[in-house]
Amino acid sequence: MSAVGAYGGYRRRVRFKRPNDLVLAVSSVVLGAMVIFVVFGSVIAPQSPSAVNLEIALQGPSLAHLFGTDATGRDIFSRVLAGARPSILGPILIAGGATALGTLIGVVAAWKRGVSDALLSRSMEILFAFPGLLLAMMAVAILGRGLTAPVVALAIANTPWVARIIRSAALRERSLPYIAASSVQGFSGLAICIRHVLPNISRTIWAQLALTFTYGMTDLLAINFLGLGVQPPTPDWGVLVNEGQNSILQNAPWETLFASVFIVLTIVAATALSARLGDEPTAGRGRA
Amino acid sequence: MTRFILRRLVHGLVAMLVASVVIFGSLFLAPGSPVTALTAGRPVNTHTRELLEKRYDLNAPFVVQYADWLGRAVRGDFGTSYVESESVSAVMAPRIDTTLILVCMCSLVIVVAGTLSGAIAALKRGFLGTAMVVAEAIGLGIPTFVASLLLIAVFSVQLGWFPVYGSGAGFIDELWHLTLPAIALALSSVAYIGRLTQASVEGELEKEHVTTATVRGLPRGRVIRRHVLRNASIPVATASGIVIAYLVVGAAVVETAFSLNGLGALLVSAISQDDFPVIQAVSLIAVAAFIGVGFVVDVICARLDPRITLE
Repeated sequence: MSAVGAYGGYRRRVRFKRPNDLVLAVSSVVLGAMVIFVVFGSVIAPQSPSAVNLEIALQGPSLAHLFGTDATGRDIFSRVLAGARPSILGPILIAGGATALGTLIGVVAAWKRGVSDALLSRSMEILFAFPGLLLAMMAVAILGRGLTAPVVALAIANTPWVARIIRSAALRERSLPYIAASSVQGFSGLAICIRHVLPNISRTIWAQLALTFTYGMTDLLAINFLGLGVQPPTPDWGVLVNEGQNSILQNAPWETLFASVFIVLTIVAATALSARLGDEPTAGRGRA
Repeated sequence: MTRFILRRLVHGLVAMLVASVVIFGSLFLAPGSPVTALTAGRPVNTHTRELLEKRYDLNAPFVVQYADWLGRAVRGDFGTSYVESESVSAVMAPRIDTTLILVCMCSLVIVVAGTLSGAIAALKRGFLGTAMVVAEAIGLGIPTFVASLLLIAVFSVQLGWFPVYGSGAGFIDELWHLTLPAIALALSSVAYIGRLTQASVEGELEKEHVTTATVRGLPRGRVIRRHVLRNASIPVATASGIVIAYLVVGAAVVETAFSLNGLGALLVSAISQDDFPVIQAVSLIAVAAFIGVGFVVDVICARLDPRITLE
């Protein structure tokens, strides 16, 4: 029932070059700054992200307004900072959910083999046929707009990709002699998995977490951009990019531009981190 | 080969069947009655409600409704739109062209630009190679909706080279209008295919059979073409298949950003209006596109490398 026969069945291992230490350092600084914005963003913001002042609408960057002002005169710098929380927490939930579930499924499938492995693989393959963005849109159609439906849908959509990578990592680990030795000594499968297999594949798990974060962010912000997720006036970055659309035509692309810069910086940094951690091919999940 | 194709075809059909159950079933389970969507939330009397339920066949059990829907769907009849009150096929028909041209242009850009940039990055050292690597790293991090608006800001508004919105009239004009959308949709996939091609070619260059071929005195161009690129093309073909198969859904984003009249934009507006028959039809087409492309890619890979079999 493989919708993706060769996708799943026969793959050559492709090794990407790992980014160097400088790239890693810059990425860590960027992600560290984003974490600070998530926690303190609305405190750091120099002005209220929702203070409307039509007299100063659509201004370019200046000392008073570092990133300029939007169509209703709100300070874009403050809005982008305040937007870090909704824009980053959602993708973190997606990545956490998909990685936890995918790891569980991947390790169980690798350990049990046989019927449960086949069953899991087959049901996962059906999920492969649903792009994350489509699943998220269907979830919105069923459950209504907001953050919950797309976050749950995107976590589910990313699970099979994680599970496949974890399964093959766990299979490699399982074939090592020390596992057989532990088995002979009478340790239970559960104990071996928790004590040995999981710690030994932890790098792969962390890499998948970072990678899933980037895919989750791309898709979730796209949903918000389309107006199907978080609703204005929440200054989510996807919402900001969308709101700035009309100002572009009036030669004031600042809102879209600066929100975009923050989105791209976050995704590039997380991708670099993921590439540094894992040596698995960064499987393309079809980005939106 | 025939056996492989037939077995793969059966897999694809089964996957399609399961996917159709998921698509129909999930919207069937949605809270809130379809009557509410049909009447746009206005209260209706019992008689009208019964008429609507009868017209849209809303009272039959799930299995009957599903079988009925699937039976008509395979013949291209997806029922009646709740919003437009004409058949879903009539709503979709004028929009299929736009999405089809967009996806085809975009696939072409992805395959050509992706493999070229990747091969250059792997085979050429120096400035050109480095430039490709950097461009790929950044391109990979630019979501489609960001790329769309940045392209509009630079090439339509600032430089005025391309039209801002709309699909255009006539084939040439339509291509013209769809150039920026296709590039926006292709961007991150070009970067991804580029990186994959580069890694794959570099991996292949280190293989022993390539060293052997070089030592046998074959010209470098021939070694690259026959021994490196052919072997390196398999993971690239697989990955290209995945990204191209997802384009129909990704098109929803660019079509909305560029105000194009395509299937993706239709899906987005149908979701905002709870137009379930349209949502089901477009979702089914998107999933069918994915499974169809997956089938084609697997057959191509099996031709490229005879060792490939289904598990």
